[in-house]
Amino acid sequence: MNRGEWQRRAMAALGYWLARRGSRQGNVIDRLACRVLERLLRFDFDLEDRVRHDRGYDPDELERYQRAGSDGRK
Amino acid sequence: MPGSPFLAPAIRLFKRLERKPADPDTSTRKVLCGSCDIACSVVAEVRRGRVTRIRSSDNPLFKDNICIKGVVAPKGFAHPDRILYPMKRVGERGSGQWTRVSWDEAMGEIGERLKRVIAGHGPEAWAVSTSQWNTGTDHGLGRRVMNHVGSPNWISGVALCAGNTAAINRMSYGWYPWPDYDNTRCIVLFGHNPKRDSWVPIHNAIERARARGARLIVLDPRRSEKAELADLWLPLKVGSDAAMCFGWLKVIFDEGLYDRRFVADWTVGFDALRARVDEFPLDRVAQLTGCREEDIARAARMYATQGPSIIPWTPITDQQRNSTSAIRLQTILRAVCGYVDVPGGEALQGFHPSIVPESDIEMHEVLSEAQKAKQLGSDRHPAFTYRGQAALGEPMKRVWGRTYANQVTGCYMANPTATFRAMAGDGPYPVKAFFALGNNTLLSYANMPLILKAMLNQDLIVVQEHMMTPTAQLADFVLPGDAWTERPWLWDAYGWLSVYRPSQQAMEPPGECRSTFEFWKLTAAALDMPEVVPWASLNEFYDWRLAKLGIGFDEFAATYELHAGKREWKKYLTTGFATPSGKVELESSVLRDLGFDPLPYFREDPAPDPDYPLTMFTGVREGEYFQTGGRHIPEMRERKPEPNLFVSAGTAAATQIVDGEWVHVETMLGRVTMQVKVQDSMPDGLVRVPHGWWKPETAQGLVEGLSSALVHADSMLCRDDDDYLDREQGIPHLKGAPCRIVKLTADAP
Ligand code: SF4
Repeated sequence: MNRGEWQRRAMAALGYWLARRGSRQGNVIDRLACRVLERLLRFDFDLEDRVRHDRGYDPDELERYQRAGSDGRK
Repeated sequence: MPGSPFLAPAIRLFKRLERKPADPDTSTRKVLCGSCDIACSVVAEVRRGRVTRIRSSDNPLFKDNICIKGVVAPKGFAHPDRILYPMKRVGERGSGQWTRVSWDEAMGEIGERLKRVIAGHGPEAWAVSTSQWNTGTDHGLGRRVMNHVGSPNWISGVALCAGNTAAINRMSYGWYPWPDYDNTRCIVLFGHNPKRDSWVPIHNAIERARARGARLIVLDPRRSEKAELADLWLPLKVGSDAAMCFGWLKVIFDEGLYDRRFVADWTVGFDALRARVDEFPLDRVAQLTGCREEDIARAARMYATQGPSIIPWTPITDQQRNSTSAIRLQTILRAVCGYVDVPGGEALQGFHPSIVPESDIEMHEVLSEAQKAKQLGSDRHPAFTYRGQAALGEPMKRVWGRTYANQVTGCYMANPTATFRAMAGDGPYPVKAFFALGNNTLLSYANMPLILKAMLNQDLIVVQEHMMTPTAQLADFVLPGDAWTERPWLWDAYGWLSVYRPSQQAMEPPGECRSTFEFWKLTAAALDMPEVVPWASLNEFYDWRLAKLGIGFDEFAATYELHAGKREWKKYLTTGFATPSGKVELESSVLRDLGFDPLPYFREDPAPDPDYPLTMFTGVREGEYFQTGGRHIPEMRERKPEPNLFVSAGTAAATQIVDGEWVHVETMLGRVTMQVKVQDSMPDGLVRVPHGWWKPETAQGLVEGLSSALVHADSMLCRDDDDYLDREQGIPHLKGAPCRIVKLTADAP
């Protein structure tokens, strides 16, 4: 195994371990792994504004919509 | 896909999604979005028993994996026209006349009528079509019931989308690999264009990889969003993926850029392959692909020398007349460059060691060999049928522990076109009962006129759906299906990865909507075989699957965002590959034994037809919709109100059409009506036609045009005659069929 491959393997193994622990709500190590991931994976993805600023629907609005009929007037 | 995140320095420009709920009485549930097939881990906010908001996960592994389709899902599921109760047809088929019945009445009569079909024509006279992503909770239970009944005729959209890729990949190295985005150094996209409203986790993974310096090569006839970002963009001719791969291999072999040790130790058929590759000098490849020789060579060198590289799955290569060869050539590129089962390359993960996979649930072993041999299409186009995969049974058992190891549900399917022909009365035997689960069959495969004829020739059609789709409009029974916020879900990454993710039920299903699990449980009971689906509930079924972990589903879902098996690399060093030879088969013994060319080849286009001077690229997914669904959601229709075809300014001028004009697109099979969009990014001569259009707000019923499906759906255009079918799989050529544009005399349809 050359040095590059060894490095990649080590990084992949470490990353995989962190992902497995950080995706579990268990003990203190899991929570620590999650915090480490939080720092390592900081990234500004290009979410569209409509998604980033969405605050959801009002339950009454959904209720009214569901009862209204497809033309919205029933 | 969360795997092993690359530990690069953080990027500091970091905008946060608002996570504080609008109302303090809000509770949250961890759910997986099922509005497309990539299943983002998201959070459902629940107020007064309703899901009111979908936002991205709180776990950093899944940060910002969300798109507009997920955000508007609560509105989509609350649609006033959603099917909430079982309905039985009372008028002529397709007349739109229904009466409400109970689940008990519906399933009792379905059982009786299905038994009559089976008694009269044999179990193979029952066919099922499902897109498991939409129904979600099938989990192989449909196959399990069919296998016990004795029918091999299960079809799915995965026949031309990832399932077929899985089946072909296995012929080379015995598994369908998942690309390691987190550690790769070069990503090759054959036309696939994940973006912020489509396959977002993959889009995000590519963005992160690029930010840490990974190269991006894009092969796409048009200047797509990803092409704009690429280090190298090759605007290849539509449908020429196989020719391009030959060109890359020519450069890689001639310049000695391949992994000689891996090739010598772990492949068979190299000399024969090399001779075949020599038939493709770069000037020929340039002529076949329309790309410059120097760009082809540059891309090949980048792929081979800047690696480890990945060629992720692409629906584009899946849907071509040379699909089998092109997919095989991609497997060969991965193998000869030494990128199989290494970090940063393509991981062969196998099964999770402790969770019952869908392959086991399906129970293919109970279906007799005699019934397997009747699987429709397996005579002429066997690649993904039982017959095509049979030689891999022993190697699968040796390496992965199971004779029937299904991946992406695509490895033991009947051929869709052959199934529709049999349903229409033009097959080796009749098919007279048809079930469609979360699958808008009429619009989901090629040749809608054939599918329509097939459906009109059935004794029994059962559909489980959310909305009254064109397919549901032709049914005898329409049953209400639940949605992904309304049930628990255990997601197995389609058997592609050894990773499982849970989804918690966030609200009660409305009306009498039920899961596909319940549908199959009731069907088994109606066929007098309740023991085939013995679990009392979906939760109990999941508890059984997780039993080896020592916890039940509720605890599993509360504890884990994902549960992954152990990751090992180069497992083949101890097990060999799951192929008949135990090595990577550059020359495929499976294909040879099935009577096909064991080496990849390139079948050139039929002679041009002057009546159809343009080239059509269809199957195009729009960011607002997934497949044929979502057009009932007001927010989405506002963004994309009409079916738009895309052409270049040059093509528009030559055809004398203008932006916004309504036109007909015609092929030798049929005609649809679409609105023109002129786009700079399009090459001349190419027409991009969107997939799966119908208008839920328009009149239902056959005479009325099935909610505009007969006017707008691209499946009206897609041919499935021999010239336009891949030989080994029998899937249609959706990328590059001839068409023409005809001006309309009147205005919009
Ligand atoms: S990409 Fe969008 S639609 Fe698909 S699973 Fe993610 S949020 Fe849902």
